[in-house]
Amino acid sequence: MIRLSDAVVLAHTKLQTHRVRTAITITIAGILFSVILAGVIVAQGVFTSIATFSKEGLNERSILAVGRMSNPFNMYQNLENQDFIKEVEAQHARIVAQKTAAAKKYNVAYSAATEDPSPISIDDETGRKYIDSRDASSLAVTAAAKERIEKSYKPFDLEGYLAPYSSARVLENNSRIQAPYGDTFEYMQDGIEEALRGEDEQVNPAEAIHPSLAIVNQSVVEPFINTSVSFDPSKGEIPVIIPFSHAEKLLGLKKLSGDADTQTRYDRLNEVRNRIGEVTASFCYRSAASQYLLGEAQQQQRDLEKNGKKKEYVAPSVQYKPVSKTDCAAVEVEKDTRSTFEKELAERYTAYQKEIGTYIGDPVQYKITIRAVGVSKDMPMGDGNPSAIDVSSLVQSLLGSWLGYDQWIIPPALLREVPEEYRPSILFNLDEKQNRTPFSGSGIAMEEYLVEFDDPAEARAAMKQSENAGAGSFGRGEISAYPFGSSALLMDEAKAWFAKIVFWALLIVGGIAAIILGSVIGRTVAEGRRESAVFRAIGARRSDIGAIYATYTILLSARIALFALLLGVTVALVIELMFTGEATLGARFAYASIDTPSEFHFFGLATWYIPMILGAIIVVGLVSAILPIIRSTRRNPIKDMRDDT
Amino acid sequence: MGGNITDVQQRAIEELIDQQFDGDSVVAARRFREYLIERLKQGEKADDTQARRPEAKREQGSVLLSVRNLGKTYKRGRQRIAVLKDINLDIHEGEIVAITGASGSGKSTLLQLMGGLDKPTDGEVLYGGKNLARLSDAKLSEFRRQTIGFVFQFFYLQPFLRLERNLEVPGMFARTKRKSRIGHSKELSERVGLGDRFQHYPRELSGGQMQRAAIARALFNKPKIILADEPTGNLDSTNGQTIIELFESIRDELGTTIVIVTHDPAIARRADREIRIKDGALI
Repeated sequence: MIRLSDAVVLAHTKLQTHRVRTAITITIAGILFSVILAGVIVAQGVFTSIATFSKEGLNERSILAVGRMSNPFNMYQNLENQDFIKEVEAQHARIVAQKTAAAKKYNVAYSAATEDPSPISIDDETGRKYIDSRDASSLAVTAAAKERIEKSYKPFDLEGYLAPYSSARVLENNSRIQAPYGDTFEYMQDGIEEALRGEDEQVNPAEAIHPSLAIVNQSVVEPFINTSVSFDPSKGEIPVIIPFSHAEKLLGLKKLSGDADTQTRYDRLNEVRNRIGEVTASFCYRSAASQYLLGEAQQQQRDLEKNGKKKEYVAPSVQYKPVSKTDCAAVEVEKDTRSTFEKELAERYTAYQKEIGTYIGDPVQYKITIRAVGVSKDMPMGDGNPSAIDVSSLVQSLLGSWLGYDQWIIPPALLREVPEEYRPSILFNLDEKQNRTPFSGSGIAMEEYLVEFDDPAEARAAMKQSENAGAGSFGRGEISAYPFGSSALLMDEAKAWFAKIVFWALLIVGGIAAIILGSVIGRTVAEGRRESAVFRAIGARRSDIGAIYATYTILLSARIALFALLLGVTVALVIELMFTGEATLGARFAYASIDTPSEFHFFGLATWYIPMILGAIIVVGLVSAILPIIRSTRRNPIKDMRDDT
Repeated sequence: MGGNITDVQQRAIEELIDQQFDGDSVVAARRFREYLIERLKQGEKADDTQARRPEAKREQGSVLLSVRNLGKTYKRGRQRIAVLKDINLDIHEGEIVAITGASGSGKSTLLQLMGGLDKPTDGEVLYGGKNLARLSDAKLSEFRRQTIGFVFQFFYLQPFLRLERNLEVPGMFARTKRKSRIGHSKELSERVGLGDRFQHYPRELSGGQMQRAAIARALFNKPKIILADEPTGNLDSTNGQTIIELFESIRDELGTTIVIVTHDPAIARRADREIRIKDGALI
């Protein structure tokens, strides 16, 4: 067969013969492929950058938040369930009997008919029993529902769930700081207790923050602790890591506008990070009884202000001192003018309530002061305009070593140093492994554990397992497992997803390109028939003609590949130049706690995708050329020569 | 030369030539005339020659290519068109043969069948005793490459290759090494008087120059036979003359057999032999 170098010489003349057609083909097909190439280059840049940043923060750890929601019991679906109604009837009878006995014992007035009417109604037409939805909140119904929930509740068998994963271990010390049911634990915005906030002290909802507190395993929070902050546990302050924007607000810094330049924002990040030790804030815990007393005291205060000067005003028998808005203090009695009988009646009533289980307890309150010891990742920046391309926030969400957007995280090791009197055990539990939300009104209990996997593959398998086991969108009653603290575990999925996109894009673009190339090569071959005939006359074999056209196709495809590569690289470089500053900022915000010199790039050539795509271009060319070439070699040279002369 | 013979002798020679040659074999007649004059100069009588044909002087070579009972039929729709019918002829080594006939008479088809570009419907073309139709594509290509040199009416040079490369194309298919090709194409371009156009593109050449280049290309693999299809059909008479003289000198120097399809009587006259075709048959 003809030598390759000679085939190149002859094939090259064909490219020159159809210069315009060649140029158009190269441009169109090149642009199509360049889109994929640019995407691949940018994606590789992103992957590499993520890998670089992953060495910071939590990204190298594979932690899953494994949770399970208990099976819910939906009371409202059972209001006509006769079995449930029987249970409610039994509960009602028990409650009435208990209250009647206790009332008799403590000599307290009790009327079952008015205080505890039966929640069961009877349908006039069918005669069937049912519970009116208005009665669904009655004591008997909720008691019956609670019994059902508790009966069906099975503790989450975490060990069983993790049995297949030898590298998994449960991280200790995780608990949400939550007041027990009926109690409150609230953030004191501007230092003012929420219940005591005056009309003129209302906070603009856009400005308000709603943080909650949680203790999270020390090894997880460690990277977020700012080592330059000297935390003094003896002051009784609770150490917390807070999100950047909260810190910014608490430092009295005005939020930067969305179009602030990169340097300004970077300076702001540094300022917040450097001054984080200055941030303090307060929370107020009140037990139900404390809230009740506070309400009474407020009511008295309002009554006094409104009617105090009127003649008919009668001061209450128990008078409370005015309450400070900022102290989260106990309500103190100013004056108690009750008679002995009144006091004795109140005591009897308390004993009665204790007997039937409705006593709300003693008034307890704590003011918790926090001290920031670190910054965590924030809600993505930007001015809330979702239509604007915000590379910085995009990168932030990609990278993320997060600890929850609105959560302030307490490092357990530092918390332990704080004297116990400042960390009441009703709120701060250092022994919990899990993060458990007790049953609430919805009848759903959520148990959540942090599980670390030494083998990321096992973590992914566990995630998959939970996906497969998920019943319904919330996986109620089922187990959920999602990455905690970083997106590293999602990166592999993103890569797999990306590979799929590249594959389909190649298939589609390749298909379009094959059609274009096929028709262009077909035409070139058709127009080159006479020339092929001449070549045959001067000694070319069929295979030589085939080789020349195959070479022509490769030359054409190679030019498309080269053009696509140049264009793709150019586009990727433009993206790199346009966004790398913003992205680096976003990345550094994502690791707000750590001052990292790394930069985030959108340009990476070190990927097998590039040679693969370039190869695919040649393959597409050759595949599309097969038919015309075979046809051309089978032609009768005489006919072709005659056709043209 | 004419001064040595009398007018009577001159007239006798012309009469003899008129009798012996029917006007289609100009070269032979010219050679015969020169031969007679030479003999007269040496004192011999013109009639001693016994009216020998010039072939007698030029030893007729052995048969190179034989065409036996050749027929070619094309299908056009349902119609079968017989382009060639029962052709028999031999091409001898070293001769210049002109194939003439009107347009559509089948002369080009005959040339192409002789060159192994197509397969006959009937009969055979034999080269060295081998039937071309029986050869594989590789063998047939090799035959065209090594034995035949094609020359076309429209030259068919590669427009984007310099003359140097254009001449090399047959060498490319023969897998000749580039080094030896360069020297050979230079030599050939000088042989056809285009040495100074060696680095030019075809568009920079005149029609006559292009045809000379095409002839040089046909000579590249040192073929035994040149098959030329209307080589002067696209040229003026002066250039046509040059081409035919080039063919003659090639035959004389290299001994190449040359078969020319033409309808130019001037060319036909200069050939050693003319084969006429009418409606696909020899006449």
